[in-house]
Amino acid sequence: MIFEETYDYLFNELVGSANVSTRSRDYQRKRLSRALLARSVRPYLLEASWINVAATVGEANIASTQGVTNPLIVLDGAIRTSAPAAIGGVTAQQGSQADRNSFELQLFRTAGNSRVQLMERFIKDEHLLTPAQAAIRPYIFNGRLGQGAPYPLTWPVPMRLMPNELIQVKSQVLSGAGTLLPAGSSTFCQFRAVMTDNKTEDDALIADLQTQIAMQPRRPIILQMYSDNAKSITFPATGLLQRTTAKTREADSHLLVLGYAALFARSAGLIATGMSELGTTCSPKWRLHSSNGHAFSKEEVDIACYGYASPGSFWTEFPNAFLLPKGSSLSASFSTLDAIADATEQRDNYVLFRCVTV
Amino acid sequence: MQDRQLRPNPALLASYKAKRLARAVKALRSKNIFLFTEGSRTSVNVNDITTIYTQPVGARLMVVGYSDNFRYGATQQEDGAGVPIKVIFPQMHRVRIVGGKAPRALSDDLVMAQAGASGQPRYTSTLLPCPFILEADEQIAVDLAYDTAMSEPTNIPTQAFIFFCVRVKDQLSSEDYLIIEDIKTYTRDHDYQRGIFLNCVSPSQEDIEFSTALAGGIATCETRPANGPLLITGVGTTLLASKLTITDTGNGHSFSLNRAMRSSALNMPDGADPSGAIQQADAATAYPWTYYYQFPAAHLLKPGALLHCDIVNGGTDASGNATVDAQTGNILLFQGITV
Repeated sequence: MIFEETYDYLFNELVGSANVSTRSRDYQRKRLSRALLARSVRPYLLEASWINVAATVGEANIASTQGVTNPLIVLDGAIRTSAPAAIGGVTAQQGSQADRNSFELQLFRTAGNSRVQLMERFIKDEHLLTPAQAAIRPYIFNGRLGQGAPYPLTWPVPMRLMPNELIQVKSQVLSGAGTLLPAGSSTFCQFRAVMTDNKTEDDALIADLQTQIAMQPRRPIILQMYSDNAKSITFPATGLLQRTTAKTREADSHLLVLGYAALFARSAGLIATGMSELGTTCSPKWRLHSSNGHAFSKEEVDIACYGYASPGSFWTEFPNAFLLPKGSSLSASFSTLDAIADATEQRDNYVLFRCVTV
Repeated sequence: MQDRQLRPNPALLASYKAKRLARAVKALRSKNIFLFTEGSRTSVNVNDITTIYTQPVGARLMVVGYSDNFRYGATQQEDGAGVPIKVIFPQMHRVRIVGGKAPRALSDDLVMAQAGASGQPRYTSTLLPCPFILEADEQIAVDLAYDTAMSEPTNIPTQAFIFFCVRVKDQLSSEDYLIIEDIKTYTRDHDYQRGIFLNCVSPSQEDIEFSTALAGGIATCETRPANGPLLITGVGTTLLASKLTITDTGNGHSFSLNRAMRSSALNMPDGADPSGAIQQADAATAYPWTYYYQFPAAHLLKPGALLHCDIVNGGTDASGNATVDAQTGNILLFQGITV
């Protein structure tokens, strides 16, 4: 939307249309509206995850999202199974073969003593996911960027989740899944939501936004995260249970952050075996927050749930643009669920944010 | 069904034709410009930064995105002289706009070659979050760097970039008004648009054939002339190791301003095989859509005009290995629609 809107405006500016001043006013008004909307409606991620302890047929798990204190609008969901080892020739990373035909899922929405079924019966996860091949070639199935596909649990209309409500996920391992689903693997069920806050009044910020819109054309900006004293997101060592933090630069103008691309390396050893395409094996989790006080999730959540499966297609769009005020930065804590294999996985990790100036 | 003979509703048809005319005029005003630049760092020092520049254009352009020839993951780093390459070592870059009154950067940071990929051409490009204007006195500078404390790759790879831009005519010429009359006539006589493919072939051949099987072999090829005004929306090619120019013979417009650009930056090279076997081997299993690249703006091909391509095959990588496309059997296919 922002791209097309800017394209049309710039096209008319280059043409030198007679009514360029009217178009300009409309365009500037849209820019301000988008910034104000982004100020009030902020992206939020919910996650329910569980461990497939034995991954044997019939194993049932129940997991739920974290409770929230503000009402949320939940847009869609995605599912991914982490598995550090190669299975049947296909590595189960970032949602792939191991996710298919492995579970039956049933979702509930809990509210106090009542439970509302979002699905009347168990549904085989294969019905919720596009085939593994789509993970490899998402562009064939879905030309648009970052919609959360190819693993969508998309509702026909967004769902409202009230404070203290949870989304509960029941899963059951299907027969025949054992060959694909490794014991000890983790499954993440993630939901994209927005948190609304229409009470934030900041006249100085609004005036500053107006000034910037009047003075600066909209332009693209890419922000990249770095760990301290490093040029990438770098974990302290290889092995299990590593933690690190990373941050972007402070924004020098008010920005709309449209989404992120997360590429976490895989070990050089695995690359040599030709299984390099599907992302990291160490299952990084993150909790993203902005220095102006907004956290994008309550706890650390899986970073790869929504990204497409290949590093070339790892773009995830926020459900709504996030307003990053001038002087603020984004930072995140990272931890790994599985072991970091080698120096490649330890160091070659990147998160980039695609932004535009408001 | 209102009309058993499938005749369109007159009001609907009028609106549809008005939209077709508006789109065609927009295409007539728009020219795709591909700014190509490539280079490699001159040192293996981690802190070495080399800057390469796109050519000066001397006209205001709208920049909508860019691609490079790298993607993540390989058994080993290779030179970028030919086919698109996969590297596990992060080759970094930073795009800056220089030369005008307001120097600015797309990013203050050096970002990895694969930054934000998944635009077009797919794996190897960055679709910008929004377009921006490159002023007539400005150039795009790309800083190349290598970024981690990990071991330096054996060879310094060549990084190739294509910036996808649109030039917009602010004044239509008298000839343009004649073309608009052609478009009006065509839309009046044809109730529906139809999709077309224009295959670009060497003279008297059914494919693109190089003069020799070695690097440096050349090929010229062209499409058939358009029999009516056409909107060319994109191109698909199996060429991976070649450099090419595309020219519209109707108005002499060269898409890359007569500078040969790498075909590898125009397609998504290795969608066919996720196992790591990539590059030319894929040509055998390629589908046209695997290699399809949609132009930033539709290109209007006027009646009688055709698209002409000059192609130079391959190169030699830093290890002395030739990277070439096959001498025959290469495909370059333009996709379009009647106005």
